Amino acid sequence: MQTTPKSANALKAADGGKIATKSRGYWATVWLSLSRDPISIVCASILVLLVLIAILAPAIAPYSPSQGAMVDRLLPIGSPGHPLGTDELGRDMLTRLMYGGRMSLLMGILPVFVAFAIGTSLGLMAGFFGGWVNTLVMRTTDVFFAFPAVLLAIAISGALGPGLGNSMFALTLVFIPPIARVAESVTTRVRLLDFVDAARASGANSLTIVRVHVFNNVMGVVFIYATSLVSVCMILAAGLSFLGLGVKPPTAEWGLMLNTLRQSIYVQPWVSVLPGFMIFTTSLCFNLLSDGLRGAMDLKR
Amino acid sequence: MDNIVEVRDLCVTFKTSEGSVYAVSNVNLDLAEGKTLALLGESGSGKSVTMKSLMRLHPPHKTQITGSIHVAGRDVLALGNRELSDLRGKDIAMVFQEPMLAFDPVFKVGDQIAEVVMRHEGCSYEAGRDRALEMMECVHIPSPRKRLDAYPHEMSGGMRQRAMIALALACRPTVLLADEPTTALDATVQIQVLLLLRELQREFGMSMIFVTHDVGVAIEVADEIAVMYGGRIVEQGPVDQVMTDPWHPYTQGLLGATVYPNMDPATRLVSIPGAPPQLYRQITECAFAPRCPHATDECHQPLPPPTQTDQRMARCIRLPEVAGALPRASVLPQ
Repeated sequence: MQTTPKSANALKAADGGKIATKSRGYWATVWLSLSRDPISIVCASILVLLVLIAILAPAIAPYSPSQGAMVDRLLPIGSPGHPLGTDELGRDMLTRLMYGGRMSLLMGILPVFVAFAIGTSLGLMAGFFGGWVNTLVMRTTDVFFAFPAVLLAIAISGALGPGLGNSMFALTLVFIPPIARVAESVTTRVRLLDFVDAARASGANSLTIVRVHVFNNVMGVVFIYATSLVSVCMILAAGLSFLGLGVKPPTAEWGLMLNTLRQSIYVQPWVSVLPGFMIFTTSLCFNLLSDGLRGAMDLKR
Repeated sequence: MDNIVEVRDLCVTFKTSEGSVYAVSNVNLDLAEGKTLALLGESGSGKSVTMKSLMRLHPPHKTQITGSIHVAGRDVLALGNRELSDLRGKDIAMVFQEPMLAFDPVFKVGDQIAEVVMRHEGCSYEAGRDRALEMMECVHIPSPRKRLDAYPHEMSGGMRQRAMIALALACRPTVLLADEPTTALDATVQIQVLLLLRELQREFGMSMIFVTHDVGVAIEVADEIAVMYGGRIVEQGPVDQVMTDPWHPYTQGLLGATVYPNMDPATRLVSIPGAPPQLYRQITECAFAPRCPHATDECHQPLPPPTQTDQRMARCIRLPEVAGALPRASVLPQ
């Protein structure tokens, strides 16, 4: 993105310190429009809060996440000393939810982020160069589309064996094809627009055109799509952990917690659904925020 | 060389899945320094293709260009990619038909102009912005300082086309190619943009090639005119001569279908029947013959070389008989 402070300086220099109008940069415009949308603001606040809690968990959690007490097993919500109750091994639920957020958020965001970087590059390449490059990239991604995302993630993690790294790798692999496909279709459309010809007529070479013009027009669309995938990724990650393919006990992770508390659903139903509630809230917030972002990033509105 | 643009025997062929399209055949063009040439013709006559060939903007693997193109003393067809990029925007710049589509929607207009200047003059961003501001003033954009930071969609059509001209002229090109720059604008803005182009051309001493399908526009801006039909130039010459005394039946037909000032309200405009030819085969005979009121059998024979005088050229086998057959008065403004 072009930098605004620079341009403001140029204007200042040319104008002897008086700026006719103060121009806003692209991201400032997006931010302004986002801040007018109450739903986005609420969702963003919740997410920021969750991330802060996850980062600060060791400092603010009342107990240790793996320290349990057999006598305090499955206490109800609101018990003295354990505001959100305890799990089936007597560990404090509040502490475990805080620590679990670290894993769950990491597993939700990182694979999508990596897939975003790889998928966008592949899609840009395929879309811009066309021909056999396009065929090679897009037909390969089509192979991945033959399997449902959940099944593919399970199959890859299953083949690689359980573990945090493996499940994240599996999730990354699952999300590259859809992102590449979106990037490719947008690139193909953008590439044929007049301004690409105009840029070429102004002396830009292919690399500049891809890097500046195509990339910046494709980025927005793919970015919004990727943010909507974060919630899907969180749910898939939770699913993998639930099946025992993700992180291993006693690590706290929302999906895994949901799994282990499953047996206690008749004893302490409210405590048992807490991890599920967290997953639900987080992915809902990501979805609504990405929706708000789509509106805000569309300059023409 | 006196001519800033010299095109000899230019043929452009596109390879498509349905076979070759002979978009432009045997085009010769000369443009002297500081002059304006109008390429006149209807849609699909090869005007824009000729224009884009001058900058080699066609996709290379699907296009075959033969002949020779010299711009500002350089052989365009022999240039490598690097030299070609250096040439484009610097020596030869282009104004596009639809200014909304020709600007990148995600960048500010001022930054897009600055980018071109930075690319060709290797200057700083600030210097580029200064030049952008100067250019925006040149093209009479109101409150140019403010418009530098506008996005393309925040401008009106006329203003956008002015900004497009500012962008094209930012590096002081010696040749400006204008591809129907006024077609997307409404009539009142059209004349403003035309006058602006003429003014800037004089100021910067540029040569200009102006593509249009509007006879009135061509008369307004051009010194020389080349009428294209079916991928060939059918008539060429100084604008006043061609417009007062058209030789080729197609030019006569175009003028017969044009409204002009002070025309008798009772005059009927005469349309040319039929449609332009498909260019899926190389047309060696007169492409206009199927629509020509003067056509005889000999018109379907391969065309002889064009009739040439000092200043004028026309490509019609029956030229002596049909020249001067224009049924009504000249359309030139008196």
